[in-house]
Amino acid sequence: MEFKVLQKILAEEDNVAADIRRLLQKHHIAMVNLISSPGSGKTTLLEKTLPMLSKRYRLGVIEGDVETDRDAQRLRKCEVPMVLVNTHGACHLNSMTIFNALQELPLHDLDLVFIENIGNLVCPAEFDVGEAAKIAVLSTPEGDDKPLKYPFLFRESRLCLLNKIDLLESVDFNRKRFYGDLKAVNPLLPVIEISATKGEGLEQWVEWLEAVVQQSGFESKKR
Amino acid sequence: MHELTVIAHLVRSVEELSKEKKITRVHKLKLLVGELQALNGEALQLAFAAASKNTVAEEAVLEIERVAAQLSCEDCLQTSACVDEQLQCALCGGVRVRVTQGKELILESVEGEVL
Repeated sequence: MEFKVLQKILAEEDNVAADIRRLLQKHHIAMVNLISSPGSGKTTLLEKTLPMLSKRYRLGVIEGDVETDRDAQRLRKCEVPMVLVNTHGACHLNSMTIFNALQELPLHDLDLVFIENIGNLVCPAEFDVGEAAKIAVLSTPEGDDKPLKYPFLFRESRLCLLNKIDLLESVDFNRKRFYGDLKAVNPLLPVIEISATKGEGLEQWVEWLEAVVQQSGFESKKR
Repeated sequence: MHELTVIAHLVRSVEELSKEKKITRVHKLKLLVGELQALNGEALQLAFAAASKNTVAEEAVLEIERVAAQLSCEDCLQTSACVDEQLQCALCGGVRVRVTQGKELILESVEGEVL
Protein backbone atom coordinates (compact mmCIF):
# COMPACT_ATOMS: atom_id res chain seq x y z
CA MET A 1 0.00 0.00 0.00
CA GLU A 2 1.28 3.43 -0.90
CA PHE A 3 0.82 6.53 1.21
CA LYS A 4 1.29 10.01 -0.18
CA VAL A 5 3.09 12.04 2.46
CA LEU A 6 4.59 15.22 0.94
CA GLN A 7 6.21 16.26 4.16
CA LYS A 8 9.23 18.54 4.46
CA ILE A 9 11.98 16.50 6.03
CA LEU A 10 13.61 19.33 7.91
CA ALA A 11 10.26 20.77 9.03
CA GLU A 12 11.22 20.37 12.69
CA GLU A 13 14.51 22.20 12.22
CA ASP A 14 12.74 24.91 10.25
CA ASN A 15 10.09 25.29 12.95
CA VAL A 16 12.76 25.82 15.59
CA ALA A 17 14.48 28.33 13.28
CA ALA A 18 11.17 30.19 13.03
CA ASP A 19 10.90 30.18 16.84
CA ILE A 20 14.40 31.65 17.03
CA ARG A 21 13.44 34.41 14.59
CA ARG A 22 10.42 35.30 16.72
CA LEU A 23 12.54 35.31 19.86
CA LEU A 24 15.16 37.56 18.29
CA GLN A 25 12.51 39.84 16.83
CA LYS A 26 10.90 40.25 20.23
CA HIS A 27 14.19 41.37 21.71
CA HIS A 28 15.29 43.30 18.60
CA ILE A 29 18.45 41.27 18.34
CA ALA A 30 20.34 40.77 15.10
CA MET A 31 22.11 37.41 14.72
CA VAL A 32 24.71 36.64 12.06
CA ASN A 33 26.19 33.24 11.26
CA LEU A 34 29.86 33.08 10.25
CA ILE A 35 30.62 30.10 8.03
CA SER A 36 34.03 29.14 6.65
CA SER A 37 36.66 26.44 6.39
CA PRO A 38 38.83 25.70 9.42
CA GLY A 39 41.65 28.22 9.55
CA SER A 40 40.11 30.97 7.47
CA GLY A 41 40.30 33.38 10.40
CA LYS A 42 36.82 33.49 11.95
CA THR A 43 38.09 33.68 15.51
CA THR A 44 40.70 36.32 14.71
CA LEU A 45 38.02 38.27 12.90
CA LEU A 46 35.82 38.19 16.00
CA GLU A 47 38.75 39.14 18.23
CA LYS A 48 39.12 42.28 16.12
CA THR A 49 35.45 42.97 15.49
CA LEU A 50 34.06 42.70 19.02
CA PRO A 51 36.12 45.60 20.48
CA MET A 52 35.17 47.79 17.50
CA LEU A 53 31.46 47.38 18.23
CA SER A 54 31.28 46.83 21.97
CA LYS A 55 31.04 50.51 22.89
CA ARG A 56 27.96 51.05 20.75
CA TYR A 57 26.22 47.71 20.93
CA ARG A 58 25.69 44.92 23.41
CA LEU A 59 27.23 41.83 21.87
CA GLY A 60 27.00 38.07 22.35
CA VAL A 61 28.80 35.11 20.83
CA ILE A 62 27.80 31.51 20.23
CA GLU A 63 31.07 29.71 19.69
CA GLY A 64 30.80 26.39 17.89
CA ASP A 65 33.65 23.94 17.96
CA VAL A 66 33.83 20.23 17.36
CA GLU A 67 36.07 19.82 20.42
CA THR A 68 37.99 22.04 22.89
CA ASP A 69 37.40 25.55 24.18
CA ARG A 70 40.50 26.99 22.46
CA ASP A 71 38.57 29.53 20.39
CA ALA A 72 36.38 30.41 23.34
CA GLN A 73 39.47 31.07 25.46
CA ARG A 74 40.78 33.47 22.83
CA LEU A 75 37.48 35.35 22.76
CA ARG A 76 37.04 35.51 26.52
CA LYS A 77 39.44 38.44 26.58
CA CYS A 78 36.83 40.45 24.69
CA GLU A 79 34.53 40.22 27.72
CA VAL A 80 31.26 39.69 25.89
CA PRO A 81 28.69 37.07 26.93
CA MET A 82 29.58 33.83 25.21
CA VAL A 83 28.20 30.32 25.00
CA LEU A 84 30.51 27.52 23.92
CA VAL A 85 28.94 24.64 22.03
CA ASN A 86 31.02 21.51 21.46
CA THR A 87 29.38 19.32 18.85
CA HIS A 88 31.68 16.31 19.48
CA GLY A 89 31.99 15.35 15.87
CA ALA A 90 28.89 16.90 14.36
CA CYS A 91 29.71 19.00 11.35
CA HIS A 92 27.33 21.90 11.89
CA LEU A 93 25.26 23.73 14.47
CA ASN A 94 21.55 23.03 14.14
CA SER A 95 18.62 25.20 15.13
CA MET A 96 17.87 23.37 18.38
CA THR A 97 21.46 23.86 19.52
CA ILE A 98 21.26 27.56 18.73
CA PHE A 99 17.90 27.87 20.46
CA ASN A 100 19.33 26.33 23.62
CA ALA A 101 22.48 28.43 23.43
CA LEU A 102 20.41 31.61 23.14
CA GLN A 103 18.65 30.73 26.40
CA GLU A 104 22.01 31.01 28.13
CA LEU A 105 22.63 34.52 26.82
CA PRO A 106 21.19 37.65 28.45
CA LEU A 107 18.62 38.31 25.72
CA HIS A 108 17.28 41.44 27.42
CA ASP A 109 20.70 42.90 27.22
CA LEU A 110 21.83 42.18 23.66
CA ASP A 111 21.80 43.88 20.26
CA LEU A 112 23.96 41.63 18.12
CA VAL A 113 24.85 37.95 18.36
CA PHE A 114 27.61 36.28 16.35
CA ILE A 115 27.55 32.57 15.65
CA GLU A 116 30.97 31.14 14.89
CA ASN A 117 29.92 27.98 13.13
CA ILE A 118 31.92 24.76 12.80
CA GLY A 119 34.73 25.10 10.24
CA ASN A 120 33.11 23.52 7.18
CA LEU A 121 31.93 24.94 3.85
CA VAL A 122 29.18 22.42 3.22
CA CYS A 123 27.00 21.41 6.13
CA PRO A 124 26.50 24.67 8.08
CA ALA A 125 25.22 26.32 4.91
CA GLU A 126 22.41 23.80 4.60
CA PHE A 127 20.69 24.56 7.90
CA ASP A 128 18.53 27.53 8.78
CA VAL A 129 19.26 28.48 12.38
CA GLY A 130 17.12 31.62 12.44
CA GLU A 131 19.95 34.00 11.65
CA ALA A 132 19.49 37.38 9.94
CA ALA A 133 22.35 36.56 7.59
CA LYS A 134 24.79 33.83 6.78
CA ILE A 135 28.24 35.23 6.09
CA ALA A 136 30.73 33.27 4.02
CA VAL A 137 34.29 33.88 5.19
CA LEU A 138 36.91 32.82 2.68
CA SER A 139 40.64 33.41 2.96
CA THR A 140 43.00 33.89 0.04
CA PRO A 141 45.32 30.91 0.82
CA GLU A 142 42.34 28.58 0.36
CA GLY A 143 42.26 29.42 -3.34
CA ASP A 144 39.93 31.24 -5.70
CA ASP A 145 37.95 28.16 -6.70
CA LYS A 146 35.72 27.95 -3.64
CA PRO A 147 32.59 29.65 -5.05
CA LEU A 148 32.39 27.06 -7.83
CA LYS A 149 33.26 24.18 -5.53
CA TYR A 150 30.85 25.16 -2.76
CA PRO A 151 28.10 27.06 -4.58
CA PHE A 152 25.53 26.30 -1.91
CA LEU A 153 27.23 28.43 0.73
CA PHE A 154 27.76 31.33 -1.64
CA ARG A 155 24.14 31.17 -2.77
CA GLU A 156 22.79 31.16 0.77
CA SER A 157 25.03 33.92 2.12
CA ARG A 158 24.21 37.60 2.27
CA LEU A 159 27.84 38.69 2.45
CA CYS A 160 31.22 37.26 1.57
CA LEU A 161 34.29 38.34 3.50
CA LEU A 162 37.52 37.73 1.62
CA ASN A 163 40.03 37.48 4.45
CA LYS A 164 43.85 37.49 4.47
CA ILE A 165 43.84 39.93 1.58
CA ASP A 166 47.30 41.02 2.81
CA LEU A 167 48.61 37.64 1.63
CA LEU A 168 47.25 38.04 -1.89
CA GLU A 169 50.67 38.51 -3.46
CA SER A 170 52.21 35.45 -1.84
CA VAL A 171 49.47 32.88 -2.44
CA ASP A 172 47.92 31.37 -5.53
CA PHE A 173 44.70 33.35 -5.63
CA ASN A 174 43.41 34.80 -8.87
CA ARG A 175 41.20 37.69 -7.85
CA LYS A 176 39.67 38.10 -11.30
CA ARG A 177 38.73 34.45 -11.51
CA PHE A 178 37.29 34.58 -8.00
CA TYR A 179 35.01 37.51 -8.80
CA GLY A 180 34.03 35.98 -12.14
CA ASP A 181 33.07 32.67 -10.55
CA LEU A 182 31.28 34.34 -7.68
CA LYS A 183 29.27 36.42 -10.11
CA ALA A 184 28.18 33.24 -11.86
CA VAL A 185 27.10 31.58 -8.62
CA ASN A 186 25.44 34.55 -6.93
CA PRO A 187 25.62 37.82 -8.87
CA LEU A 188 24.19 39.92 -6.03
CA LEU A 189 26.51 38.76 -3.25
CA PRO A 190 28.55 41.67 -1.90
CA VAL A 191 32.20 41.05 -1.05
CA ILE A 192 34.32 42.92 1.48
CA GLU A 193 38.05 42.34 1.27
CA ILE A 194 39.60 42.30 4.71
CA SER A 195 42.68 41.43 6.66
CA ALA A 196 41.61 40.50 10.16
CA THR A 197 45.20 40.60 11.39
CA LYS A 198 46.21 43.87 9.69
CA GLY A 199 42.87 45.64 10.04
CA GLU A 200 42.26 46.32 6.38
CA GLY A 201 38.58 46.51 5.42
CA LEU A 202 37.32 46.07 8.96
CA GLU A 203 35.66 49.51 9.05
CA GLN A 204 33.55 48.55 6.06
CA TRP A 205 32.66 45.21 7.67
CA VAL A 206 31.60 46.96 10.86
CA GLU A 207 29.43 49.36 8.84
CA TRP A 208 27.75 46.39 7.19
CA LEU A 209 27.05 44.87 10.61
CA GLU A 210 25.67 48.15 11.90
CA ALA A 211 23.16 48.22 9.04
CA VAL A 212 22.01 44.71 10.02
CA VAL A 213 21.65 45.80 13.65
CA GLN A 214 19.60 48.83 12.59
CA GLN A 215 17.32 46.59 10.52
CA SER A 216 16.52 44.53 13.59
CA GLY A 217 14.86 47.49 15.27
CA PHE A 218 17.74 48.80 17.32
CA GLU A 219 16.38 52.36 17.27
CA SER A 220 13.07 51.34 18.75
CA LYS A 221 14.69 49.93 21.86
CA LYS A 222 14.15 51.63 25.16
CA ARG A 223 17.54 52.11 26.66
CA MET B 1 28.02 14.45 6.69
CA HIS B 2 24.87 16.49 7.23
CA GLU B 3 23.16 13.82 5.16
CA LEU B 4 22.94 11.87 8.40
CA THR B 5 20.95 14.66 10.07
CA VAL B 6 18.58 14.75 7.14
CA ILE B 7 18.15 10.98 7.20
CA ALA B 8 17.64 10.89 10.97
CA HIS B 9 14.70 13.27 10.53
CA LEU B 10 13.42 11.19 7.62
CA VAL B 11 13.51 7.94 9.58
CA ARG B 12 11.72 9.56 12.49
CA SER B 13 8.96 10.81 10.18
CA VAL B 14 8.59 7.37 8.64
CA GLU B 15 8.35 5.76 12.07
CA GLU B 16 5.65 8.20 13.11
CA LEU B 17 3.71 7.66 9.92
CA SER B 18 4.00 3.88 10.23
CA LYS B 19 2.59 4.01 13.72
CA GLU B 20 -0.28 6.18 12.61
CA LYS B 21 -1.12 4.13 9.51
CA LYS B 22 -0.27 0.79 11.09
CA ILE B 23 2.45 0.00 8.56
CA THR B 24 4.34 -3.07 9.74
CA ARG B 25 7.06 -3.08 7.13
CA VAL B 26 8.13 -0.31 4.76
CA HIS B 27 9.13 -1.40 1.26
CA LYS B 28 9.92 1.87 -0.38
CA LEU B 29 10.43 5.52 0.46
CA LYS B 30 10.38 8.20 -2.15
CA LEU B 31 12.40 11.28 -1.47
CA LEU B 32 12.34 14.48 -3.53
CA VAL B 33 15.65 16.32 -3.45
CA GLY B 34 16.07 19.66 -5.21
CA GLU B 35 19.05 20.03 -7.50
CA LEU B 36 20.25 23.01 -5.49
CA GLN B 37 20.47 21.02 -2.28
CA ALA B 38 24.04 20.14 -1.41
CA LEU B 39 23.15 16.54 -0.63
CA ASN B 40 25.12 13.60 -1.92
CA GLY B 41 23.01 10.65 -3.04
CA GLU B 42 25.53 8.04 -1.98
CA ALA B 43 25.92 9.60 1.46
CA LEU B 44 22.13 9.67 1.82
CA GLN B 45 21.93 5.95 1.01
CA LEU B 46 24.74 5.13 3.40
CA ALA B 47 23.16 7.16 6.16
CA PHE B 48 19.81 5.54 5.49
CA ALA B 49 21.27 2.05 5.75
CA ALA B 50 22.69 2.95 9.14
CA ALA B 51 19.79 4.97 10.53
CA SER B 52 17.02 2.60 9.46
CA LYS B 53 18.49 -0.40 11.34
CA ASN B 54 16.01 -1.86 13.80
CA THR B 55 13.21 0.31 12.51
CA VAL B 56 10.18 -0.44 10.43
CA ALA B 57 12.12 0.87 7.41
CA GLU B 58 15.09 -1.44 7.84
CA GLU B 59 14.51 -3.27 4.56
CA ALA B 60 13.11 -0.37 2.62
CA VAL B 61 14.51 0.95 -0.62
CA LEU B 62 15.27 4.64 -0.57
CA GLU B 63 14.35 6.12 -3.92
CA ILE B 64 15.73 9.57 -4.55
CA GLU B 65 14.23 11.78 -7.22
CA ARG B 66 16.08 14.95 -8.11
CA VAL B 67 13.95 18.02 -8.78
CA ALA B 68 15.27 20.36 -11.46
CA ALA B 69 15.98 23.91 -10.40
CA GLN B 70 13.89 26.78 -11.70
CA LEU B 71 14.17 30.52 -11.42
CA SER B 72 11.59 33.24 -11.67
CA CYS B 73 13.02 36.48 -13.01
CA GLU B 74 11.85 39.84 -11.72
CA ASP B 75 13.17 41.64 -14.79
CA CYS B 76 11.54 39.69 -17.62
CA LEU B 77 8.88 38.10 -15.37
CA GLN B 78 9.48 34.69 -16.89
CA THR B 79 10.35 31.35 -15.40
CA SER B 80 13.42 29.53 -16.68
CA ALA B 81 15.59 26.56 -15.90
CA CYS B 82 18.49 27.27 -13.56
CA VAL B 83 21.61 26.45 -15.58
CA ASP B 84 24.76 25.20 -13.83
CA GLU B 85 23.37 26.22 -10.45
CA GLN B 86 23.79 29.87 -11.39
CA LEU B 87 21.42 32.46 -10.02
CA GLN B 88 20.92 34.18 -13.34
CA CYS B 89 17.93 34.22 -15.68
CA ALA B 90 18.66 31.99 -18.67
CA LEU B 91 16.33 34.08 -20.85
CA CYS B 92 17.31 37.70 -20.22
CA GLY B 93 20.45 37.40 -18.13
CA GLY B 94 18.82 39.27 -15.24
CA VAL B 95 20.13 38.61 -11.75
CA ARG B 96 17.06 39.63 -9.75
CA VAL B 97 15.83 36.06 -9.58
CA ARG B 98 13.98 33.92 -7.11
CA VAL B 99 14.46 30.16 -6.80
CA THR B 100 11.00 28.71 -7.38
CA GLN B 101 12.04 25.07 -7.61
CA GLY B 102 15.14 23.09 -6.72
CA LYS B 103 15.41 23.46 -2.95
CA GLU B 104 13.00 20.66 -2.12
CA LEU B 105 13.70 18.12 0.56
CA ILE B 106 10.46 16.23 0.80
CA LEU B 107 9.28 12.78 1.77
CA GLU B 108 6.86 12.19 -1.08
CA SER B 109 5.52 8.76 -0.35
CA VAL B 110 5.86 5.62 1.71
CA GLU B 111 5.02 2.14 0.47
CA GLY B 112 4.57 -0.70 2.87
CA GLU B 113 2.59 -3.57 4.37
CA VAL B 114 -0.34 -2.72 6.55
CA LEU B 115 -1.74 -4.78 9.39
